[in-house]
Formats: sequence, structure tokens, C-alpha cells
Amino acid sequence: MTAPAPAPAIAPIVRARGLSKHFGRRQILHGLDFDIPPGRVYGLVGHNGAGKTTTLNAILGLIACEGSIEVLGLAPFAHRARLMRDVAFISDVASLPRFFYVRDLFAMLTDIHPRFSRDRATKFLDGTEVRLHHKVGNLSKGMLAQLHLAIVMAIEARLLVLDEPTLGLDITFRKRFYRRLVEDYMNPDRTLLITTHQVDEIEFLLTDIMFMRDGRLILDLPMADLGARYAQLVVDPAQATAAAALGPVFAETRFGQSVMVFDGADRASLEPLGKVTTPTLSDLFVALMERPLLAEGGAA
Amino acid sequence: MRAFLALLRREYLEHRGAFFYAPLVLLGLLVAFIVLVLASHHVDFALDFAAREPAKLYDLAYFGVGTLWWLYLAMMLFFYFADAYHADTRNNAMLFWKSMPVGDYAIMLSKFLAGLTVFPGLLFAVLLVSGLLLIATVLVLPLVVAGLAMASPPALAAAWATDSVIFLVYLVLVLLWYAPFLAWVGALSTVVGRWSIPLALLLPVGASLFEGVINFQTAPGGSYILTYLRERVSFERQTGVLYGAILSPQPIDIGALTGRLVAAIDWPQVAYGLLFAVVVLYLAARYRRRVIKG
Repeated sequence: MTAPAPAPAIAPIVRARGLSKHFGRRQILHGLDFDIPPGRVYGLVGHNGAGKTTTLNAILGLIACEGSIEVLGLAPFAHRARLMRDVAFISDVASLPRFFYVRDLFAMLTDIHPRFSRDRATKFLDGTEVRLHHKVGNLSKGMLAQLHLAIVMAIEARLLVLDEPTLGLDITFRKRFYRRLVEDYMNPDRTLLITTHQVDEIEFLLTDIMFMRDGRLILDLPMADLGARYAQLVVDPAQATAAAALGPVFAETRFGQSVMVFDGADRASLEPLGKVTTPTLSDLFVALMERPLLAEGGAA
Repeated sequence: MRAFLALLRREYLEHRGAFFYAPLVLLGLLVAFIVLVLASHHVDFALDFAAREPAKLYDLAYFGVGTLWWLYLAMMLFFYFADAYHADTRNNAMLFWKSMPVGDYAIMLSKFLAGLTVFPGLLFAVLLVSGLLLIATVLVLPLVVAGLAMASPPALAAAWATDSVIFLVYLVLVLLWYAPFLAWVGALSTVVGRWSIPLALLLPVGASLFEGVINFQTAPGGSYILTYLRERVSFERQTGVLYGAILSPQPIDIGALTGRLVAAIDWPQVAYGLLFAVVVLYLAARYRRRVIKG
């Protein structure tokens, strides 16, 4: 009797190895290695200039890079047009062609994009202020975001990439944007990669998080593992020295309380020293962005 | 193919102002002008049209109006090519188009073909309407101008059809002849935006000057480049053939005139020009492939 064959590994949607990018003499990406499996919601977070948009541009085939990157099995820069049948993205909601009426835009997309459904897009516009007879150039930024979201949601894409999709929008629009994304778009066959500065607003929808700093991936972790790996300790003043001895990755004083973040520390050993919680994404982001880069060059 | 036709439609939607609405407005002005002239009886011809056949009078009027439309088309096409190729950058729409499953070369080609087919086609349609308008005018004119013979509607309709075919042949030839120049303007526009307007002329002139210095007193006409370009931009022979036939008192022989127009073209140069157009558009598409700003 032969042993059962191992279950075939699921091919990642995105696979990057040694992904690097230079602009002139300046190195923007420093050999990134990562996989994005299907059906996940990835958040890519970093400061301005950390390399997030360059990474997304590499994934979308908008720029050529060194190293290797494959999206849905294709080299993105060489096969961008083909790739865009299965990949949708919003990099700037103000990029919709402004000379079109919404109905003309939908008609054109029906002819250009084999996976676009005009009916679905029209349905997604129900409940918004955008109408088919509106001219794109006359829409407000919030309406543009609604229209652009309706368009990408009406595309049967396997990967949706959103680069700061809600930049400049007020809180109402931002919340509506993400709610619709989760309720109307996401399913187990789709993968979403999103960058934003408002990390707290997307925390609820993420399955995985990646932090970038200075062109390096310093964290690539499922959200489910976050609590097991990172702990935040509000330190009992009497235990400050003992807590510091455990090697926090970050320490600061908040409202008179000493707060430390630990990477891989045993929670049982922390609990006698104060109140232990799982850091929020924004707390973890601050912690990992502000700590010195001792071991550069790889994902945590 | 469906996607490519949609790209052509996109060009129409973005530029219908210059190639559809503005010509319609001008056509309206032409109608108003004709009505004003006829109603006021302020008609005074410099030429003795009374001595001519009404159909010949119609030919002259139709070709006069047609010349104005072709001048309008030439001007608009130049600005279209200088503008459309960097419109996605200027309008901040580059990333939207990059998110579509169409390649940069298809987009460049759609702009080129829209400029050579859709927009001239629209202007040709406006020209046909102008011709019908002139038929009505020529029919009414004897009522206003003493001594003019009444025209026969079938003869005028035949003249309209003949002249329109000649116009179409001339239009196709002139577009084929100048296609490389338009592609050059478009390719430059992809890289330098509206600076393509002066640079489309300054670059070849500058190259001619440098070449003239290098080949001082040896090159014919001062510069090989300049001599070639002078020959290449000229369309005088074909235009001469056309206007010779119009101004002749003889009726236009459509077959003979078409044959002479086609024979007057340097076809190898047309082929080289189209090859040049394909090459510069390909290079411009390679450049655009790396452009993500906008």
C-alpha cells in the first residue's frame, strides 16, 4: 500500500523573491521575499517612502524590477495587459477618465474588460449619489471613490489591489467604502491587497499584515498569529526594571504609564509585571517603525 | 477587436468637441451665412459664373467649401496628435488605463487610427452635408442673381456624388502621405507633451542645420535632410491635379481624375512613411509602458 499523495500546495497569487528596485542610485526596495496566497486580505503598511507603492507597482506590472515576481503565474511587467484580466486595482480614485459620462464609461468597460459586468456596476451604484447620466469630471471626490469602487467590484478579478483608496475622503466615506468591500466583494476566491495610513480602519478586514520600512519587509504575519507573537505590557512601576530586562522591542511612556511591546515573549512571564494585551495594529506599527533596525533585510 | 473598437470610441468621446460639435456649429454658421446672402440679395461674383454651367458653378462652390473643411481638419488633426498622446498623463487617467487589459501599443495605435479614420470620416460626413446644402443654394441662386441658368437637380446630384468621391480619394491620399508626420507629432507628444507642437518642426530643422554644417557646400540644397523633408512634405502635384480639374471648364471625369491623383503619389515613399509611423509609435508605446505618473 502506497502512502497517500500529499495535498497539492496552493499556488500563491503573488510570489516575490529578491524583489529590488533602484531609482537612479537610490535603492527603494531591498530584496523583498513574500508570498500572498489566494483568499486572503493583506494589509501593506508603512511610512511615506517606505516602498509600499513601488511594491504594488511591481505587482501590477507598472514598473520593471530586479529579482523575480510572479502574479498569477505571470511576470507582471512583461504581461501587464493580460494580467489585468484577473487583477483590478485602484491607485488613485481621481484617475477615472473625466470626459466620460458614467453610462459611457460602463459601456466602454463592457467592451474593453472581459470580466466587467455593467449590470453589477449599476447595481453597486444603487444607494450612492452617483447616477448614470453624471459626467465623471463633475463628481466629488467621495462620489469618484464610490464610482471607482463600483467599477472594480464589477470586475470578476482574482486579485484586487487598493493603494490608499480612501486618501482624502472623510470618515463616513471611508467606513462605507470598506464596509461595501467586505460585504459585497470579498469571497474565498478573491485576494485583496490594500495599503493605507489609516491602519485602524482596515484592521477588522485583514487576514494578514505586512509592515514595510525603508524598502524592507519587517513584518509579514497572519493576523491570527499576532497575539501569539506580540504582547503589549502596561508596566507596573515597581516592575519596570524587570520588564526592561526581558528585552522589549519598543518602550514608551503614555499618559504617565510605561508601555512596552515584546516580540515572542512568553506571556506567562510578562503577566506578573503588569497588564498584558495584544497590541493594536497602530501600536505595533509605531513600535516596529521606531525601533532600531538591528537585523535588516528580511521579513520578521 | 471589440476592445480596440472601444478604444476608437473612447477617442471619439474625448475629442468629439473638435471633430463633431465644432464642425456642426460651423455648418450652422455656413447655413446662416447663405441664408443671409440670399435673403439680402447681396451677391456679386468676381468671376463671370453666368457664363458657366450650373453644375460647374456647383463644383467650384463645393470644392471651395471642401478646401475650408480640409484646412480645418489639418489643423485639428495636428493639435489632436499633439494633445491626445499625453492626455492620460495630463488628465491624471494613466493609472486607470493601465488597470485595463489593453496594452500600451494598442492604445497608441487606437489614437493613430482614430486620427486617420474616425475624425476625417466625421469631417467627410460634414462635407457631404455641406455639399447637399450647396445644392439647395445653387437651385435657389438663379432666383436671386439675374442671368444665372436654372440648374437641373439630377445634374447637381451627380456633381455632388462625383465631387464627393474625388474628395474622398484626395482625403485618403493626403492622410496616407502625411501619416508619418502625424505619428511623429504623436510620438513626441507621448514624451514631451504639448512641447511636441514646436518640437515637431524644430527637431528636423535643427537636425538639418547641423547636417548642413557637416556637409557644407556638398549637400544639394544645403542639407540632405532638408532637401528630403522639403520633397516629403510637398503635396503640390496632387493638389495641382485636383484644382486643375476643378477650374477647367470641362466636366470632371471621375475615373481619369482618380487615376491621375493616384499616379501622382510616390507610393514607395508612402510605404516608407507608414513604416516610419509604425516604428515611432512602437517606440512611444515602449516609453509609455514605463510612465505611471498622472
